[in-house]
Amino acid sequence: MSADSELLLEVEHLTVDFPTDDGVVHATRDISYTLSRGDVLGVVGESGSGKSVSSLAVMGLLPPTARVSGSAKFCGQELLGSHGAVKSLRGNKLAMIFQDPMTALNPVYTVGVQLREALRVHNREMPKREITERSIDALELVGIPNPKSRLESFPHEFSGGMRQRAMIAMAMINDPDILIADEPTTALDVTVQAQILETLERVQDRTGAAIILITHDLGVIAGIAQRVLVMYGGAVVESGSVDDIFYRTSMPYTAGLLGSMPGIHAHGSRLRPIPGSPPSLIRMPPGCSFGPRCPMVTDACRVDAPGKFSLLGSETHASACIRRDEVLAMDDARTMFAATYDTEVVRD
Amino acid sequence: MLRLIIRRMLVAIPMLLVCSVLVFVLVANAGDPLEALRGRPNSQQAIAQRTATLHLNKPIFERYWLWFSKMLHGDFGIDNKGLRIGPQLWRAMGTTLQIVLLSTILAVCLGIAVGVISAVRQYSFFDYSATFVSFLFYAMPVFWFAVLLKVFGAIEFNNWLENPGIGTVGFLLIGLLGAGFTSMLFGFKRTVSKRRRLIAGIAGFAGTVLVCLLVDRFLADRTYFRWIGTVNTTDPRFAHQGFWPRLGDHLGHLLLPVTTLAVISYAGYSRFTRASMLETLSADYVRTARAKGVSERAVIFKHAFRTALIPIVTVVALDFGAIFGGAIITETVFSIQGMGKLFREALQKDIDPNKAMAYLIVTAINVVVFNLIADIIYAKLDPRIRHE
Amino acid sequence: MRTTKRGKLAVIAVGLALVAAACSDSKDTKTTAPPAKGGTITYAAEQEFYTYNNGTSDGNAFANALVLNPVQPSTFYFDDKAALVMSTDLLDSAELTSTSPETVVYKIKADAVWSDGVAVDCKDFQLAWISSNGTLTQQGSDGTPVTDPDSGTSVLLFNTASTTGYENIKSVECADGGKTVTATYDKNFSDWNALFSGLIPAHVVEAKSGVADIAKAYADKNMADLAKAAEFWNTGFTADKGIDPTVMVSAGPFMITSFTPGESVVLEKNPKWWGTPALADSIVFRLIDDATQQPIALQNKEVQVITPQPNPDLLAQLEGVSGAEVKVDGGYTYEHMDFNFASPLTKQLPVRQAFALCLPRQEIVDKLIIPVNPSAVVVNNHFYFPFQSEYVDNAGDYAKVDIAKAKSTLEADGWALGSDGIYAKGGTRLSMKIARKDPNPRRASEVQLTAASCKEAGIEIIDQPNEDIFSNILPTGQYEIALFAWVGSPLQSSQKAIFTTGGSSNFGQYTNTKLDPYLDQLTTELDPAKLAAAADAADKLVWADVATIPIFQFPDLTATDGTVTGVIYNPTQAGITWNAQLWSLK
Ligand SMILES: Nc1ncnc2c1ncn2[C@@H]1O[C@H](COP(=O)(O)OP(=O)(O)OP(=O)(O)O)[C@@H](O)[C@H]1O
Ligand code: SF4
Ligand SMILES: [Mg+2]
Repeated sequence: MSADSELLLEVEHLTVDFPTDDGVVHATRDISYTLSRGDVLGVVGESGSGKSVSSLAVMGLLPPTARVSGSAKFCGQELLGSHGAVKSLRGNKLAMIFQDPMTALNPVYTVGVQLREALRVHNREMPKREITERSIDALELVGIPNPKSRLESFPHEFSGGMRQRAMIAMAMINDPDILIADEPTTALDVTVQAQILETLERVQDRTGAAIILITHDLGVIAGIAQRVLVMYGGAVVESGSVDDIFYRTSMPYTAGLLGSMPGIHAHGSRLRPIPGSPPSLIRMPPGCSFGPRCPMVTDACRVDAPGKFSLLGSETHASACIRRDEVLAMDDARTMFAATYDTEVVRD
Repeated sequence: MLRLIIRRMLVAIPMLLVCSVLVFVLVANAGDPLEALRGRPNSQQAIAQRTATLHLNKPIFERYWLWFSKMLHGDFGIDNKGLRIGPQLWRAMGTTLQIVLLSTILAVCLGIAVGVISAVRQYSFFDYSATFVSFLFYAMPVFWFAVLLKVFGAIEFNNWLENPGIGTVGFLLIGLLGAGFTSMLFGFKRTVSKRRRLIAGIAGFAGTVLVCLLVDRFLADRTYFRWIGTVNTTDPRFAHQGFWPRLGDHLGHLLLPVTTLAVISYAGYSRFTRASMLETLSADYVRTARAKGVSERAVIFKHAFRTALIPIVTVVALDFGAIFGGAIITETVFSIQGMGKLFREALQKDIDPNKAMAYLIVTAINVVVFNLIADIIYAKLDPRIRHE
Repeated sequence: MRTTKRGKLAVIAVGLALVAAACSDSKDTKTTAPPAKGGTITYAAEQEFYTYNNGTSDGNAFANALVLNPVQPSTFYFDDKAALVMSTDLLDSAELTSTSPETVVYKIKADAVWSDGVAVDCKDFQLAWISSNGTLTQQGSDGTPVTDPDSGTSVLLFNTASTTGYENIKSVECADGGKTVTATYDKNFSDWNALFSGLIPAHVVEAKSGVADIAKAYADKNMADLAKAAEFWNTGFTADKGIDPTVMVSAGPFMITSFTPGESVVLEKNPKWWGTPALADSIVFRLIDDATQQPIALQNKEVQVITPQPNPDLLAQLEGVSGAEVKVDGGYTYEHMDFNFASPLTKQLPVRQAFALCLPRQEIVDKLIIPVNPSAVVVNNHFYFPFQSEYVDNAGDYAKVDIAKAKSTLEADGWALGSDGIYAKGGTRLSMKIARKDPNPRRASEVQLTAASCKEAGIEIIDQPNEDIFSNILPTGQYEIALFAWVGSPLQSSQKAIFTTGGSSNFGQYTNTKLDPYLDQLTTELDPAKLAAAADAADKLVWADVATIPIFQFPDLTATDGTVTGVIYNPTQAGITWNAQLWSLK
């Protein structure tokens, strides 16, 4: 990333709560990050860690029950709140694609109809011919063969990969500045995953849009992202460049994630899932939210204090762990889970 | 599509044939068509006569064949009263069709509208009231509701028509209704503030009261015909009048039975629509549409509603086929000679085999036909089926 | 004048007296009729009119009779006291000119015409006789009679509802250009004046069936023509073809002018009517088959006259209708207890006597009928009803419950009270089953009251409810007492089937050789006084045998919305429209 590049998105203290019958779900807490033109920001974390919620909040797509606070500015324009500018920007400057291409397209309309709709809502005056031409171009860009005839196909006539491409085409058709891709490859098989990622990269090259790529898969991140947010229990627990995250890990959770990831065990170590399960977002454990699963947990980790577990470190690489320096100093942080792997993890 | 229809029809025909045989055997064993004749002064002759007309002394399959070959020519035979069944059947179907069609249209329109609003504004005051009302309607005995309608919708309303005017209470009530309506209309959007809604309400109240005042002035010293009927579908005194008065009279008679039927099915449709809408509203593609920047109205109607409509329309079509069998209670309470009453007559006292058969076969055909229609509509609405 | 507001019992009693006074002579009412007001009067029909020919087996229905009363001509009609009165509109005279052979001469009014202009004449009488005398049977294509293989009964050519009376007639002769009719019987028929009612226009049958002369065809035994005529007579008058003014002609004050299937029948004044004009312009029958909806229609002013079966709920409903005039009368249908003479218990006279003495008839009436019909009384005659002049209370000892006498009757017969409080003789307990229709809450209560009362007399009564006692219980003989209702008739000739040895309606197999001759006399006696005497003698015998015990008449309700006069209850099969020409708006 380049320091002089244009700042597109500035998220500060983004917090989302869902009041439910069981209590308030703190889906994301106090998230801050920035995104510049041309950036690819990876967001990783276990299922339920708030990745989707935080990006849906930016897009203004959360259900009405959500309570959102903090701020998210697009080129200085506030997106959040009832007077937020997000409505006019959505689909135009800000685009998003979703995890499951099988259900993300409306089954009763042809792909063409849905593509054209995306274009038309933002270009009311555009002539029909041009709309169609641009739709064809969009499909072509994402690598769908026979784009012209494919416009008349229904989503169910597309394969999963093709649907996701169509989704990307739909998202990119208005040349957005930011594309949020929420696990675009999770539902697809490995070869298709690679193609989709390749498509994303190609599209980004062409348009220069900034991408927020949400995934469980650190391997994906390693391939295309420059910067990474690691989320746990609704909060960002580590942020930094890809190299920082992979080679200068300063948060045990990140280390756990790396250890549980197939494909990049550089030292031939065993694949080790992080023991235990993510915290309840309604009743967070006191102190560090990762404490109950952390092999490095100490008594200090269980005592809360204002700001104690917020992201600290350099501007480019920060971690929420109070023992970040110790983790950073480890040779291979992933090995810390080896010790605890077979021992019982005590939950609070 | 055409192939689908043809294929389904080819399946339907043998199905109907088997059904007709089964039903014929059931009806033949359902009771003694001579029962009512047994105590009569001339019973021996009467029994002999009816035995001959119904071919009761012939074996059942010969009887079936006799019935079937006549039925193919549209001849349903005569009933125990000696009347041809065909005309009765077509008439009953016409009558039932009228009330069923009107009530279904009413119920579907209202049910869908309320269901959509309920789903879009889930857990709002509107949603809770709509839920309450539809459960109320659901639980209400038809008979009781019909009588209630007759008392207030016919007797009281007609009395009012004879001496019309809007009392103070009327002004207040109608005004409040107007207020509620306008504030709802303007407050449909979630973002509208309480104050604006209040202002809209007050304006609505004032507007309606003003209209009421004008209407009241207009009504003063007038008297109107007792328009709403509680029985039958026409008043014979209108028989010799022109088309418009006859139509008016007819509508005045259809109003209550149609309302009764509509209210019963309204409850179902509004609940069904709500559920269906809630499902589609939370569907991924609706989120996609929003992400594309499609306006909320278009999201609701073009994306969520369009897909939610698929099961609704199917259910309506199926209901329609079933409801063709008539609404026995409603038809009886309002003395309407529809299919329900025809069936009741066929089974009352001594069974009337020809009448029962005619009813059952026509109902069966209707169910099959509307199943087919439901399938076609389904295929039309859902491309996933169409292309299979 | 004739009806009183509901809810004031005393007033109703007075009202009844008024009715009795006002209607004792209907001819009188006719002559002193108030000036016509015109207008339409609407009656709520519980069943639909469906044929103009009420004389066929299929068409014989009360619903048709109600519409046809003021349309078809009759020699005699039943008045509100169930007496047969000659129609002075149709006839100059009807005379029994000979009793051996019974010969009746009718003189038809010279100006009596059907609404199509054809005279009402002897031919119409001949058609009535030919169609219902039961001599003509259907012939197959090979000329042999068509018969029912099960019963061997031949199928009649004219599908008549009843051959009673007409089968006794030997000939119907015409004279005076058809205006004089002579009916000669080969076997006397006591109720001759009930015949030739609801006449069917012979000229219509002839014209529509293409038979030139039915009487001639009958005389010539021209079966082909008779078959054609019968075909039309059987099926040509049904309303499913709509109202054909050339078929459904009228020779009464009203004619059928429109018919909406499933909805209504409209009668309007017959322009060819030669008698006293009707007071209303039009009588409308609107089909309201759910009786509970009739008071609502009355309240909504859609109908002015209703006659639903009364029950306390319905009466309460009517009480809420402002202006309504409501009246309840006992009709011809009566509840009774019928003994099974094949049962070892009830074939013993003392047992039947004891039961009759403990049967709480007054209590049943008080508790179950009075709430609906405040003027209801216990019926104490099998042959006449309290509203008839011939009615005599022949119940004697059985008029009241007498437990002591019931016990002494049993003891005198050798019954001894057991430790369980029930009499027994020779090891047999006096325990009897009452068979009744189920579900029927009123009958359940009747049996309950009876059981309670008879328990005191040492008789055990067991309720035996069944959904169809006529099919399931009576044929098996496994009962002692049957509780059901007879639809009574003012015609004494109809009583024979119930009481005579082997009678078709004598379910209990009662037999008394002394009674049978009286019952025969009821069918043949031509002298009204002797007929009444025979009926009285027969009734006394039936009471002495305690063969069956009448309890009460079913109540009939007549209600108007208070805007009409002249609506008078008629207990016979004629029904409420018997005097429709006298109905008038106030
Ligand atoms: N509408 C809602 N009401 C209540 N809780 C919600 C709602 N939407 C999300 N949540 C909760 O917020 C938390 C974060 O959800 P989110 O979808 O952001 O997880 P995620 O990180 O995207 O997981 P995944 O990898 O499975 O997509 C979850 O625990 C979820 O249960
Ligand atoms: S703060 Fe403590 S518990 Fe949390 S990650 Fe760091 S060491 Fe583990
Ligand atoms: Mg997610």
